[in-house]
Amino acid sequence: MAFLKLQNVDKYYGKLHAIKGVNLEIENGEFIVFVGPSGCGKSTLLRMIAGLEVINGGELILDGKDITTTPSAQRDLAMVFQSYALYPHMTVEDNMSFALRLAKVDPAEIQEKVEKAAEKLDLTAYLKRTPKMLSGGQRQRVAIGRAIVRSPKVFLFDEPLSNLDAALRGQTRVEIAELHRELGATTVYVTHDQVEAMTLADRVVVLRDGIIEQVGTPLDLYDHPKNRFVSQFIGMPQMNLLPADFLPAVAEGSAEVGIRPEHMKAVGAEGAALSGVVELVESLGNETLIHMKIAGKHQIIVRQYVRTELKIGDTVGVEFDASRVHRFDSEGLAL
Amino acid sequence: MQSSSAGNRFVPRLLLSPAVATLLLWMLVPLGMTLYFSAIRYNLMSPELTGFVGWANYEFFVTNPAFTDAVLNTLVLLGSTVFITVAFGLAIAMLINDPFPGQSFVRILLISPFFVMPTVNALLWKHMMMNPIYGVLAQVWTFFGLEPVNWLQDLPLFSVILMLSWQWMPFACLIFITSLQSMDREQLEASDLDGATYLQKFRYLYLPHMARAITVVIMIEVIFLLSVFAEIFTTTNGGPGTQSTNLAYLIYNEALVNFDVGSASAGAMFAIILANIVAFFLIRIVGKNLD
Ligand SMILES: Nc1ncnc2c1ncn2[C@@H]1O[C@H](COP(=O)(O)OP(=O)(O)O)[C@@H](O)[C@H]1O
Ligand SMILES: [Mg+2]
Repeated sequence: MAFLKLQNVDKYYGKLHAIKGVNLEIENGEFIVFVGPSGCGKSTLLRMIAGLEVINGGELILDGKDITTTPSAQRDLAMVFQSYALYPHMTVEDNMSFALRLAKVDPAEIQEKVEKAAEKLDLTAYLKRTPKMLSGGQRQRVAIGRAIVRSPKVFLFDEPLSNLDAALRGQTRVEIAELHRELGATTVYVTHDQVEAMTLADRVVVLRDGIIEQVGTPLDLYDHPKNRFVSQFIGMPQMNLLPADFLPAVAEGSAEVGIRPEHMKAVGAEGAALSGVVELVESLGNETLIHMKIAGKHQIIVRQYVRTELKIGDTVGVEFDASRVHRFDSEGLAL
Repeated sequence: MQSSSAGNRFVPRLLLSPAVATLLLWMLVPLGMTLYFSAIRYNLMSPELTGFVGWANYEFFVTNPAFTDAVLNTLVLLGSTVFITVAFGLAIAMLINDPFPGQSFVRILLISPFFVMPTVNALLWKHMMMNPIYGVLAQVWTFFGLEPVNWLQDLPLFSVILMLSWQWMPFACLIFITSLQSMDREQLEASDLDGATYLQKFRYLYLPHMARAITVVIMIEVIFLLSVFAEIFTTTNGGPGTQSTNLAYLIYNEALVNFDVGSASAGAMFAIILANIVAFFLIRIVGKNLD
């Protein structure tokens, strides 16, 4: 029995059908990440779980209880907002203890919980400050602290790292992963950043236009995308797509074939399965990305971990690992 | 270094000085003249009596039995109007904050009393609302089988407070509505998840957020309400007796009814002192919200 279950949930904004009958089962303790392009409905779906948006159809079940129409206060969930949404007139301590104070929890117990959370998040020295006096990273940790002192059934995160600079983002990502391992709490995490999705998630949910495109472990999505959209969304640089007639040997009945850049190799032009003209060489030190154009119009990227002598305008051949080829039919579904 | 930075500041100060000097003159000349008039015998009814009288004008003004009443009335008027406008202004601003059909129309209606001139406001209330025979309130009272209240006769100060509140509440409301619009939505949502009720949100999120707006409203209202005159002049003439006489009206009474410019000037000095006392407490109480 799933811990958190979305059954056919729908959301309309006026005429706009923002969430189109989503089904999802989340197990207790799982770390689920929603990814998808901007505007696909990730935040909306998360806010529906939180009770901040009315659910127009379907059911939401938490721990065996139907909470479709339960007010958010009674859902026992905690959310970390993109803007952190700290209470600006309260100290860090008051921010973290707010929910417990409203719930009339024993002050000694509140004190203990806040201190424990502050210690875990390295905030002990800042308990008496207001959010104004904190750095972005510290505010972010206060927002997380406010969530964990409540020991909620589910943690919800809406793009919590998007306001941090790159270095801090990487560090906080690791901290969130550690925190999840330690607390083992069920977590739903929204991001548009696939690195966050791949590194944090037990399972990733890929959304597009209010529909779930695929659910699976990060590597599952990477190795077996169910359709063209997922194959393009997961992986950086994107999977190369070519019309089937370029590769008759492996295409067999598909409309399009996809090959990840690292499964291709630049070789001499003669006798290669494909050949193209080099358009750009990106040398990143540990890897080299060779951008080339096949038949003058199909852009592909080859990734290799040895440096190259190739220059722009050179004609090169491309070899690939036939067992790693993805085939898609004319609808974009994987075969 | 020291001297050069001091020299650097000289030019800006020099350039500022004409403006500062004008403002100082603008303030000091009338103040000086008032001070001077308050120390001489200066009654338009008996222009032959002149000369320096020391504190006599002050003594005369303070020992006037109307004086204590006027000071009390001024403070009651001020306190009640500020309290009523802030309380109702907050309540109404909160009430119409969430979107509903016709919201902008309701806002315009709410704000419109502020654009009515004080004299017109007073006349409207005096004749249209509070007239004991044909006034709207009298009609309502009669409809319920009650004896119509003779507002301006029986409850003069309250009537003036009512008019002023009607006039100033839109101002408070307008400032509060503006302030509410900058309230962070995600904070409210976070408090939803934290289990806050509407009242708790009001207490812990809305009020602190609006502290600055409330301070501004109180400050501005105090400045204007300390010297209310038109409403009293048009409706009660300070009466019956001294029941609705405030300091401003008393000074007017001395200067232009009794033609005693000396004593009126002494009264004006008291008004300045009273304003400063009020300002002192005001800044002590609410000033810390303006950091
Ligand atoms: N309050 C709203 N009113 C109307 N449309 C909305 C509202 N919130 C979101 N939408 C629309 O719903 C869709 C999904 O939005 P959202 O869930 O915020 O996307 P994202 O995946 O970027 O978080 C978008 O097309 C957006 O324009
Ligand atoms: Mg979003």
